Amino acid sequence: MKWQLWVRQVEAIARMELKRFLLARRWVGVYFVALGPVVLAFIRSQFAPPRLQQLPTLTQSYALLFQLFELRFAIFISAAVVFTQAFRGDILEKTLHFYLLTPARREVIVVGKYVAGVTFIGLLHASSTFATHLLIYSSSSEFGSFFFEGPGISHLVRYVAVAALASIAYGGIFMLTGLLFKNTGVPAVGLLAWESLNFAFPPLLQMFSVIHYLQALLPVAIDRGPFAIVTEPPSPLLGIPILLMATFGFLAASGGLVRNLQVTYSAD
Amino acid sequence: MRTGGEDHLIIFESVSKFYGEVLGVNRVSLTIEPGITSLVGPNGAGKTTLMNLMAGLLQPTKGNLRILGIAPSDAETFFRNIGYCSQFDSFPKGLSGYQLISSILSIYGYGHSEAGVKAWNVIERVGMKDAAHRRIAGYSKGMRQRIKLALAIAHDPKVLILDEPLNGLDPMARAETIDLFRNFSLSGMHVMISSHILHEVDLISDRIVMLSNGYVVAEGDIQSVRSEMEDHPIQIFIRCDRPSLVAALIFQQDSVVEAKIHPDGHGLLVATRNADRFYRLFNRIVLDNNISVEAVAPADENVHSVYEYLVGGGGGTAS
Repeated sequence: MKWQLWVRQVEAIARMELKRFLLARRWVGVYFVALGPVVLAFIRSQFAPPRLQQLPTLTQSYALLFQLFELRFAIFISAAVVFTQAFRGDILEKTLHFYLLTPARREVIVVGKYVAGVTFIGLLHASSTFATHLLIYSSSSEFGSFFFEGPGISHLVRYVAVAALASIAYGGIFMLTGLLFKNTGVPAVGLLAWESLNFAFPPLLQMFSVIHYLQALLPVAIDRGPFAIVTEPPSPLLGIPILLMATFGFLAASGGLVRNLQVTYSAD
Repeated sequence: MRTGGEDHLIIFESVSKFYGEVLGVNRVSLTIEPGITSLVGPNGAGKTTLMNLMAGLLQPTKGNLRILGIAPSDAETFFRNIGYCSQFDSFPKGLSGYQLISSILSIYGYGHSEAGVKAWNVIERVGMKDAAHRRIAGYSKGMRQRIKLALAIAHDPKVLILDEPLNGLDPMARAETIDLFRNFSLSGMHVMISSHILHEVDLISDRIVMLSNGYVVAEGDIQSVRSEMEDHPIQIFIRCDRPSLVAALIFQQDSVVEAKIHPDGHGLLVATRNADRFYRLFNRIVLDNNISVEAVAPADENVHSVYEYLVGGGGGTAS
């Protein structure tokens, strides 16, 4: 019986948070970040010379755009902004008590806010990935054959799935970061550096980053440069459960912190 | 978590709250019956800390508290019984009054349409029907106050905790809101009010809890609190036709410490340490001397006087 109530509460909190994402001006930056790759893909499709509109070049260009911009920057930044502010933003705006005064377990509030955040940035970046992918190939004469006879659809599905999975994993990390640190800028920059320099880490350390598991799911690999330490990519059957279990762990830790959270806005 | 015999009481058992090394409240022990209870005290006395503890927003550093026999850790039961109108004048951005209340009611487990109906009813009750679909950011201070009150009562709580609930309300809205509190009290609810407007506290409270520097300095109904203050003789104002004669005769009694004739010559102010004995003597004097009495009233049996005696300060308000 309690599960039914918890599910309804999670739905209600997520709906309320989503309304705030859609209506408040504070999130405009996140929309712009998601629009960035779409604009770049549009410019490329319109202005790139014909020699760069060949299928192999397009496939490599899109892989670069997705990995360097969408995954390592846009989704990462969006998750950092949205999830570190999930509780910290409410504390700064002095609105957290609206949730804490409801008959919802604190863990349920964490899950509700997390679901809203993942829905928001997941949908935003899945849409951005979808649009970017189509735009990049739109200038190619082989568009139809790539999507309807070749691997186009399969690539698209994998990129969108990775965008969604990145939102899920980074969401969990930044939810916890927002609860552990008052100033979340420094840990966010640290995490960005960790994720970006992951390619040069020893194999054992590479395993402690989200990007390590996400890269393995992508359909096209990119050249990671002369300093890269090449490791065996994890199998999706192992990588996806690891990411989901780690996310669950971050959320459980967040729930523990929120359980002891007290409203002393002036002290925060 | 429910404890037998306590299911209609608010109980603080030696509750202390410290913010680091700063004292919020210290060793507060209270047993509060249903009715209107006012928290009174100067700035920093601990009123908001006590309210936030009661509302489950703070956890005591020491001691226990139970509301209707329920501990705040049992969130799913506790918060169904609590309605809190906080002093924080901030709202989630982008939402209208109706959206806020119906969304919060959904978290209580009400279905979409039921939450909508309940939200609309409570919005009507606080007179916010016309502005219900406007964004809260555009509301006046009084409208925001009414939406907070609507949110606090929307789920029909048994304990209503109101931090400065009359702030920003115009006189008409104040009167309506006070009536609302009285109705809640008559229906057996707890209404806990913190207000710095002492004459309003006097008008509406069944009892007071007076705080100073984090300590409870007095609690109970105002008459009993006043009668226990033996250092301050009770002042009684009498309007009659021969105040000089009354003044001369009342000094028969040891407990009368002072009698001042009113400048208009038709009244006197008596200070006594034993009001009951004084009233008996006064009745005899009136009957024996055929004195015409227009009015007899305690002059300092009110929150303002008690506040001045116990806490100090001379204004008409505390905060």
